[in-house]
Amino acid sequence: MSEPRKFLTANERLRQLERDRKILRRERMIREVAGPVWHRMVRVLPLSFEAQGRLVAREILASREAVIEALKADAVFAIDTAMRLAHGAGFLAVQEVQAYLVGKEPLDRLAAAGLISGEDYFDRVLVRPWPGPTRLLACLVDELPPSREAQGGYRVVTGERLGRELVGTVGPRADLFVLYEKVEGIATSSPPGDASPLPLHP
Amino acid sequence: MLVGSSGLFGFETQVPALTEDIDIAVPEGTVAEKGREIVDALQALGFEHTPGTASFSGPENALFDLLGHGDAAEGDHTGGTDALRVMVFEDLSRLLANPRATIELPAGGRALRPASFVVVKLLTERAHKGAKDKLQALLVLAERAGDEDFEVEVCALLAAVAPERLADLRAAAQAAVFSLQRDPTFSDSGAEGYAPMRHQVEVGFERLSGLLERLHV
Repeated sequence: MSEPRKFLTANERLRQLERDRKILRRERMIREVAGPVWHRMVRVLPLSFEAQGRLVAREILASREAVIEALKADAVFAIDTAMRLAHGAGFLAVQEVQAYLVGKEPLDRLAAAGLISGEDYFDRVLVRPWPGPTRLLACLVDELPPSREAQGGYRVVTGERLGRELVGTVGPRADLFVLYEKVEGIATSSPPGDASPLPLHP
Repeated sequence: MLVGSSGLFGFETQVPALTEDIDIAVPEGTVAEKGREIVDALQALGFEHTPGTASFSGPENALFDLLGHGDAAEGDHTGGTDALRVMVFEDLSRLLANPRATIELPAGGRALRPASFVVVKLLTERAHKGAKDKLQALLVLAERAGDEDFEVEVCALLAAVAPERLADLRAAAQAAVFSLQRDPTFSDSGAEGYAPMRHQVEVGFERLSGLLERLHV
């Protein structure tokens, strides 16, 4: 049963607006601290990995590297995995595998080889703050997204898409976005030291 | 003056208002002078006034809220008398001071022009309502992509906004896109119905970015 609607008085509305303004002032301080990178970051159209197709999670039963190697011919690696393959450092603390795949055949093959579980894992939350097994997070798509080749012959998403995936995964995090810009060699007009120290996750 | 989400009823659009309320802005002076008469007249029409508020509920669950518009130099404040006290928003007052910001409705009264609606929604600061205002603005921007007159009008209105507020609205628009993408059920207050319009919201964000680039923001 829905609760009866509470109508606010004008004074209550004004107080609510003042509370909202406080939140905004806090956001402005965060912007101030981040410096020019903040302004570049909020221009980015976020790209949601999971919304690109059907997201499937499988538990990784072997090493993460073995799974990546086994998917080499089939996958375009995304988000943190793309960053690590392309640049040797990621932006998420938990190392899992994120990849775009066309169809489930590669998953069946990896499961038969004992590299991943045969059953889907229930928890498909991309960035989970709670513990759990290391997962392969595969987004099943009709067509693989634009990619480039990283060292070792792995296909990873393009630099521009990686920036969009980053913002679409963790939101506008200036500390991570500055890392992305640095490793991608994106020329910026901001002087060094404008943003917070880099939280590298090698 | 039809404002708020119900402003979407005031012009040609496919964007659903997804609101139960009708928001009507009344000149602050009128509320101060004729507050009691307004309440009495609405009650005579069958609308029940919730005392102390500017909210009225009518037959068939119709709800509407009155708010005031007045001198923008006075900032956000409350106006009226004990009979009827309304919230007066600075941004809305500034915009409504320009008669070209609104259009006349066929049945009487006025409504925000599409560009005015977009800018008011982009400037609305309501943390408790989350992304709804921004999503509506982005959807109207997407719907009118390529309408040069509309975009020039939006630009002109945005050009009068302080750079810091433009930065606020850009970030809030991005946050709205992000929240819509992140939460498939989109449990944000009152905006659940915009979830299937994710692509259009993204188009709207790109249009907004383009307009802000024109203003060198």
